[in-house]
Amino acid sequence: MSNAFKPVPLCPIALPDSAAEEPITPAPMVDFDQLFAHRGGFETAYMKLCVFAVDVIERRSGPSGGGAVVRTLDAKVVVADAFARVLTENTQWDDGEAVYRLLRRHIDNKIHTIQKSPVVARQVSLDALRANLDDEKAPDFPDEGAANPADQAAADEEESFYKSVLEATKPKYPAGGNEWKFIDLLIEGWRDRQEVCELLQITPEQYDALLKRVSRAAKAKKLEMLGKRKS
Amino acid sequence: MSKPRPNTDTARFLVDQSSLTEAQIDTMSESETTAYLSERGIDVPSLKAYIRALKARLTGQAALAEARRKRLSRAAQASIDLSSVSQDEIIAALVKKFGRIEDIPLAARNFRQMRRTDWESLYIDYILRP
Repeated sequence: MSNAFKPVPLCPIALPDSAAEEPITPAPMVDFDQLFAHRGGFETAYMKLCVFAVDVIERRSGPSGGGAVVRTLDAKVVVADAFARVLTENTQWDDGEAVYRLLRRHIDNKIHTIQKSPVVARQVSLDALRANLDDEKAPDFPDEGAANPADQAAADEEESFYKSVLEATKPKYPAGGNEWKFIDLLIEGWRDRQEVCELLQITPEQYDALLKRVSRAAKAKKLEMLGKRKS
Repeated sequence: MSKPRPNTDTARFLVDQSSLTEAQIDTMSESETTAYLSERGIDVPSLKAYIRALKARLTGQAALAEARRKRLSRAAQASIDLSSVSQDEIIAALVKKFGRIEDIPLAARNFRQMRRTDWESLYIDYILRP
């Protein structure tokens, strides 16, 4: 510190007015019934969000890995989590529809994240590490981008499960009928509506009806096999 | 390159096609909504009780979150600009308050080597906001 400085007359800086203490006014209470009035009120909106959450859970459920975790989710809790998240964001509470859509996105993103998250942590063999250190060589770790055997096993299990689902869906319909052919075409990779119509020699309207009933049957069979629905 | 999974891809395609659209959910009546949830093992009366309790809790949490935002906003506005004041003037004001430069509570701040920002902090705390 300098010893040569001299005291200087000083006019203290005045506090800006904005920094002065303001009276604390109560925060306005959010009326959730008013917020979702266009959706029938809070309870109705919440029930519809539960329907959406159930639908996403059914869609993203699977036999193993993250899909198996999704199966265990409680829809009403997923919706509550979405509300909790919205409360932590800088949400504008004057637009109920924007809040509703934001909640839907949070619900879908949350379930999607759980589905895609690894369930088992990647493991590194310490024996391999020790052996490499003993040999005074650089450790031979697998490449970061290499396939995880656990992920591959989960994918194989999933493939086997869905093969069973499709095979179990077929018997609902007459053997060799359009439903059977349709499923076989999908397995071969055909997705284009027009091309499938030509292959099956059906009209687009018949295709739409075919897709609707086969997809519902496959979903029902998937959920039955996952044990989700009541027997 | 990952192995092809035709059965997984096909089943997922079919399940996606059977998912409810936004319009379908929006146009569901109350009885349809109740039936949909009941078919999936959800006890609707319990769910409604859960919703009512949650609404009260969310209302309080929303008020708390809004109050917190207002407080943080006010604190940000209270930042003071001392760029027009020289360091000597700041030190002079502190010396005037404490009598001697040695009596300025630098030790309380564990300051070994004072920087401009340190002096400003002391000035704000001891001169502007006593």
